[in-house]
Amino acid sequence: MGLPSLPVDQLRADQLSAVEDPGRQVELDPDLAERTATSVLAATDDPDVASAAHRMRGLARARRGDNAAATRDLVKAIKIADRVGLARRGALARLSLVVVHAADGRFDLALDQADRARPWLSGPDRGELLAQRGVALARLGQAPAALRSFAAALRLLDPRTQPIWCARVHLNRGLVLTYRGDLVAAEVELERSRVEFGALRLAGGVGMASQNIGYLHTLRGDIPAALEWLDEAERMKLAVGMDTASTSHDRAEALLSVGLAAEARGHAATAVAGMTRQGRGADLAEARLTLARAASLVGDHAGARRAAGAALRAFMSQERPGWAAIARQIVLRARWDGGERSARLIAEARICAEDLDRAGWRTTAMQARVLLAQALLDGQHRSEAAVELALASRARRRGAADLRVAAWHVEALLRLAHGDRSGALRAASAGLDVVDAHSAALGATDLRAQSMTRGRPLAQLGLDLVIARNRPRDVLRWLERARTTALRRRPARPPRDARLAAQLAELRQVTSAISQERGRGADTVDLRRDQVRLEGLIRDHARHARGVDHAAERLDLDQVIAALGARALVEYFSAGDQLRAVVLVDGRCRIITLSSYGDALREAESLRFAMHRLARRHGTEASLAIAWTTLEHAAAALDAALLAPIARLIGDRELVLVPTMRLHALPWPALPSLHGRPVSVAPSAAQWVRAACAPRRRTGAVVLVAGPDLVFAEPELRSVGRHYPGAVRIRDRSATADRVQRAIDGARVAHIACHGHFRTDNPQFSSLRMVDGPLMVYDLERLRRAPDLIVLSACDTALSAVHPGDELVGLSSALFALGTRTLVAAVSPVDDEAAKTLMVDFHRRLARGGSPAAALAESQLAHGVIGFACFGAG
Amino acid sequence: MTSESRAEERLWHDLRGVFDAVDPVPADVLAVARGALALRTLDAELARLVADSALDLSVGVRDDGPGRLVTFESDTLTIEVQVSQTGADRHLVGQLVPPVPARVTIQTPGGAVEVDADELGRFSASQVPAGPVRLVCHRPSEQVTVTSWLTI
Repeated sequence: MGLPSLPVDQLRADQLSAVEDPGRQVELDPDLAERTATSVLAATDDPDVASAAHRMRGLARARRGDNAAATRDLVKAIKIADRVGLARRGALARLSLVVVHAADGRFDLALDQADRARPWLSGPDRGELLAQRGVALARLGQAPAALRSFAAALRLLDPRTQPIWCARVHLNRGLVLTYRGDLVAAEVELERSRVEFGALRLAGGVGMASQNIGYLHTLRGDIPAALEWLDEAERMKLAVGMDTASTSHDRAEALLSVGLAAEARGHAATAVAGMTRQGRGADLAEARLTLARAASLVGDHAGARRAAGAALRAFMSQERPGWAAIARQIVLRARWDGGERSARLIAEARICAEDLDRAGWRTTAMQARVLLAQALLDGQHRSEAAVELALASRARRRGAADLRVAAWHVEALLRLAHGDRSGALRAASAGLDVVDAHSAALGATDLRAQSMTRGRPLAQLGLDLVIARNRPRDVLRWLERARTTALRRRPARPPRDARLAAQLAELRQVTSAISQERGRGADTVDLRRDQVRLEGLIRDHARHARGVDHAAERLDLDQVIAALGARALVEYFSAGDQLRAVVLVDGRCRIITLSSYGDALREAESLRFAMHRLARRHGTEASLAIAWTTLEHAAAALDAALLAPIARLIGDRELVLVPTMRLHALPWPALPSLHGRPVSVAPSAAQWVRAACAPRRRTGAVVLVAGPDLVFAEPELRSVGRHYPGAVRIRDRSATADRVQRAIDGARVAHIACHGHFRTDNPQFSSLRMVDGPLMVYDLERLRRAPDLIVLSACDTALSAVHPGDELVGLSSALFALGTRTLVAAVSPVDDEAAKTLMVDFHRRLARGGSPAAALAESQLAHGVIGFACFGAG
Repeated sequence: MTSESRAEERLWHDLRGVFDAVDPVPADVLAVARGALALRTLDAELARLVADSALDLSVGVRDDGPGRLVTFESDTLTIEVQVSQTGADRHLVGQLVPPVPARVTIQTPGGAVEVDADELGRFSASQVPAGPVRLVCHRPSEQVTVTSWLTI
């Protein structure tokens, strides 16, 4: 007896069973599924088996994002089946093709395939078809039809034999409900889908459900939750080799909704690149739209117009008029922002608003009406504008935050059109309240600092109104209303978060290894890659923090006046390029018009450049002499621009200065009228008054720190220490980030002499250099209570990134948010030896009972040093 | 022209055609080369790079600085420049020593930006693409000064 040969029927049955039920295999491992299908195809000439194998390979390829190859396989599967009359087999391949076509934006083809498959499928098969048809209908924007299709599918599908299909339908139904704004029902569906995929151990499905839950939280305005779910989604999808372009897109939307336009733009660009590669037309057009919105928000009108134009063309060819209207709105906005004023623009904006209404895009319709109304008002068509606005302003009381902000904007314009200026101001203020409430949900500093971006048009509108009314007190109140909302709230952070602590420690190691290797001239490419990865992890993780929900403080002007006493408050602001200042002296408030902001900025830049060269002693003697000349010229020019016009009002009083935009980085003490004058610089009047009215801390340690690689840090520590018997001194090997952080927590006074580094790309990673690596802003945010008075004898430590609303991010803003009352820090590079001399003298005067602002002013005058400034309560 | 030299010219032409097809010279390299040649027609003096804070790791200042400081020097002119990063682009602030008003061209492989130095010899240029740059400085009734290329 020979070996039993495998019966042909048995072989065929095995092959068929390997490819017949592609769902689970493709979900689990698309690569393996593709290989299995390919090997079956090589070994069979049976049309039934071949058609099934092509279908599985097509699905696997679609899963990987290669839609072109997927389409080829599925068409082949249909052809093979049709040729030999395998009607059901062909219909199954067609139902798979429905979703692939829909993803490509070829909706007519998708629905046509669904119609052709329908007669040949019944029972559970029909359920699968209806599930897919629902997806195509949803993508086409026909939500009610899609929901009907899903409901019918669930009635036909068998949860025991088709659990993956059931989970998918819940996923897709959840997504449609999300788009419709029915967030409660949507969350139930998505959560159910996530649990079902979880029970099936399908990470890809869990990832997609998580991603959509993240998107739902974006719409709800809970961005920390959204980002947490999106991080989870990305992890899951990457674990099974799924493409994450759509996750990048959702992340862009989440960040955009809180005004992080530049970062959102990066993620949207990633999504666009990924989807272009895969040829996913429908997704691609939507991602381009997000890219356009981000570009518009950062003020790149040309970029916005380009991206929205490309999206518009795609939506037109995909026959998605609702989506096309959104793209048109962005193009129109870009044209308006770019300076176009024409009757044609008005006509197009009107049509666009109507199209958007019809398609049910309420927020965008509102934005189109705002644009239309602006254009009408600009063209003196007041009554027409009023009609448009009245329609749109109804939505201001309920709905998503974006919608309400837009509706309040409309209401403000409407009241303005009726000549009701105070009513318009109240509407603008109500709109800012919505922005405020929205940002209250955000815990992480970098998110909150940019949340005012969305309120910028309202803030500007209100400012124009109060300036026109010429009531200086209202101007001051309004400026404070729209300024530094982030600083009015304490950052919420997980102080004992072990994961964050471990990541920060690892980043510290990597950063310090980089500087060592670089010193040796070695290659640091891998280390820097690690650094970028860790920084990303830390930033993303920190963003999961929830905000503490309490109302932001309002400015109490009487309290400010009382706290000022004999001091003068000067708060700078700009409308367009025009700089102005509100000056508050002895309870009297005035507005003074100053120079152009651009001119002041150029002189400030020149001043900092000269100070930089002098501190580094960079260049020849002749060069350095010129640097002195330039410094004096720039300082005098800035004095003339910023202080001379208010000289009579402020006399020789002590000053509280609230700068604006990039003037926050100005070395104020360098200006001649401020030589020797006590000055406190504050991010807002509200922040100053809070610091000034809090009692000075009597208890707590005095901590003196000398960081590494500074010749004069140790002598500075010894000399300063004479004025503080019993002070904790940390130096040499013990000056580690962890040790310093623990020591200064709750301290009365902290003096830290070290290298400082301001990071323009990500100010939250700005740092003080300790012996084991950088002590970063993220580390400082883990303090329970920042030192009452902190002196940073390091360069550029007072620099901040400035976002709309004068929101600051940097070392100083982190410290103020955590309870520091006074910060003495440098706003420019400082010479090591000069810093030492100055600091010793400063502490001597402080110990004699001088205020920090006065002590610093006197020391800088005595030693001719101008690089330091006093922030907060002087 | 002899037939021999014509044949040689023909050969060169063909050879260049082959290289253009197989391994074309990158456009930016061409631009740099053309710029360098064009310059030879000018009566220009060269300002060499004599200092670069990126190469100077000695300590004397308490930070990494708001930007990189570089110095170019010729017989008649010193140009101090600070290079800082703004996103993907670079921002330049400069000072001419001795201080004079001038027209300063910032040349990059992709193009050029012209800015004016004021009566104190100060100039600045934003959104300069990262990569090689050099400055060309036209002072009234003086020789043109051209710096060496610097990668920023």
